[in-house]
Amino acid sequence: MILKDLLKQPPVSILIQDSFSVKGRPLFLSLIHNYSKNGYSVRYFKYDSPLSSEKSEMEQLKFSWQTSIFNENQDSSRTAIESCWSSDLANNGKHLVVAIDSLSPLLLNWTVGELASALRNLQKTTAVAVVALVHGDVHDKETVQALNYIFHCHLTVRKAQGRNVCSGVLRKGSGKLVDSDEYYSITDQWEVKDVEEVVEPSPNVVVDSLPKNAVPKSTFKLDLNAKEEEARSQVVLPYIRKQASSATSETSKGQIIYEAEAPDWDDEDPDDDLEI
Amino acid sequence: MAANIKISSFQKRIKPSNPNILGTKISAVNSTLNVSFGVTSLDQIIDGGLPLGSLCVVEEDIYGSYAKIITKYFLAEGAMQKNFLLSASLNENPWDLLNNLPSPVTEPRETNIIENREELKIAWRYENLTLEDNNQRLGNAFDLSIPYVMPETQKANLAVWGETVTPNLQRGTGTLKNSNCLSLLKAIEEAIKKWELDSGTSPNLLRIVVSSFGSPFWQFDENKSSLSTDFTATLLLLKSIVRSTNAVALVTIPHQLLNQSLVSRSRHLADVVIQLKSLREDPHLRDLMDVHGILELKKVANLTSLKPILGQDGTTTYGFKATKRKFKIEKLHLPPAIDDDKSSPDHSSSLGCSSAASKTNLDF
Repeated sequence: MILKDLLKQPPVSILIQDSFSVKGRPLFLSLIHNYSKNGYSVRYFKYDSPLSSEKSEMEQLKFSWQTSIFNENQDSSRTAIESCWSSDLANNGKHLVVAIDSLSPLLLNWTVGELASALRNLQKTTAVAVVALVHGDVHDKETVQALNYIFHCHLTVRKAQGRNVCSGVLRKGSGKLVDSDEYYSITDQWEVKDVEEVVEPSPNVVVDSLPKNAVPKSTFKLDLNAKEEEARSQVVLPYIRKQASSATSETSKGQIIYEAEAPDWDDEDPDDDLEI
Repeated sequence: MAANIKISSFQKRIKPSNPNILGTKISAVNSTLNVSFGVTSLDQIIDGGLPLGSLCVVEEDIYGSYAKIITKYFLAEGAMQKNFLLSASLNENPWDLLNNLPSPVTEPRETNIIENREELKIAWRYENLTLEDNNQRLGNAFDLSIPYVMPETQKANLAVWGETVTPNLQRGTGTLKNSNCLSLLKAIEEAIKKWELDSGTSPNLLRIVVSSFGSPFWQFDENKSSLSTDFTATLLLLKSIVRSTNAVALVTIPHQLLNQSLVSRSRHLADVVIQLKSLREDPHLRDLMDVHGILELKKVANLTSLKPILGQDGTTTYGFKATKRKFKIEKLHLPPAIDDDKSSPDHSSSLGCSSAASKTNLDF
């Protein structure tokens, strides 16, 4: 239950991977909103689409966040962006969340190595949790694999049976890997709700009339086909016939009839064992 | 009677088991000085450990967690043997690795003197003997859940390297261009000079551990043209450094992230190559009972012979189990085949008795 735990615990570095068919931005924004509500300060860096296109959304979010939203018109060289990320970090001692929306434009110009070291440099001064969105289908497989290596927790959004599903892999500090698949939905107030595990319906198992292991393996053909089975079920066993024909109700139980004959007592004792 | 009477007066003429270098043991098979891994089951497979002066490459499982356990054991064994340790990592703070080593577990030694011994009537010649454990194992047992608190004297024997370079360090002008690699090799050379391990008469050795060499943090992809030379050249230089000094290097590489040709080159270069594969990566492994993954010896050292000498019966594929407390390597065995459909013959190396209860119903 990774998503559920993420909503409750202090922020960790998360990579959210989406694709063209399912947008990951709602989940991304609601996670940040959740962190902001819980008192962590969030710095949001938007590189993906122009700010003005989603102005109302941003305005609404801005009120409830303690964020700083940066415009991407600034100098886009690597050092400038890095310094932008790490500026003003030292002011608060508590956890800081850096939200990057999204990594894909950055990866078009940078290599994964540069991104990795930039993210690591962020971690040097204070404990920063980086929540990043990336469009998985835009990059090649090696890049995505490398990104999965860098981030300890990654969530992939997809659709299943008409609902949004978030598949997560979390790498804990001890090295243990946790997987989960959860449904989720986002409300209008950017809250994640209805997080529950995906339970795949088990396929109905058709029971054979003859269980396989009942028939021993041999070179003879021992199983029955349908016609033979039908004929078999119609065989009337002899005792049933007899039971049906007998009128009395004695037929329900078996009885042992014993007629005591002359006393069956043997006086001899060849071994001298018996003490009577 | 005196307390230590030997069995007979015969004395084998051998050199002492560790000719003055801490933590090594002469191999009976190869006559190389072998350095223990810390995992006793791994030592048994690889002839007592790594030969001194060799480079071992561990191809990590996905995300590298089991490989990290092996490096922890390696360093912990070094700490116990009072060797010098150097931990290099870009993935995380290298001090984290050194501060979380498993602590040794002392096994209770059998008492040498048995009290109240009855007088031996038949084997009376053995009456005065003491019980001695003649095959002393080089390795210690470790407990992963308890972090090792290093004594102060050992703390002076530690060194780390973890990207203390500034982001825009000038790139190398020679063959090796990657600044991280240059910095690492320089740090290793400084450590060797500091501890005088290249003099040829040092009684100690240096254990070098490089974690996740080739991961994105090393920035090999910065300059595509020198990517392959940097990677391979660094490994080659590392190998030449350890060959000429009292040192041993363990490098773990995330081989799933790297180009296959780079991985092959590192296999050619290294002296010992171990590959770890966890259950997640290969669903076929679930047929094997109990193991958490497979350990394969891709290459075994043959520094002093023409052909590598493999341990027990020539198998190179083993399974490993990693619990909270320890890490153990064992031979693979198939679960008892009740159903005929579930056999996987390519994974079996030996059929052993299954100890876990079989859950399928035995049908009589």
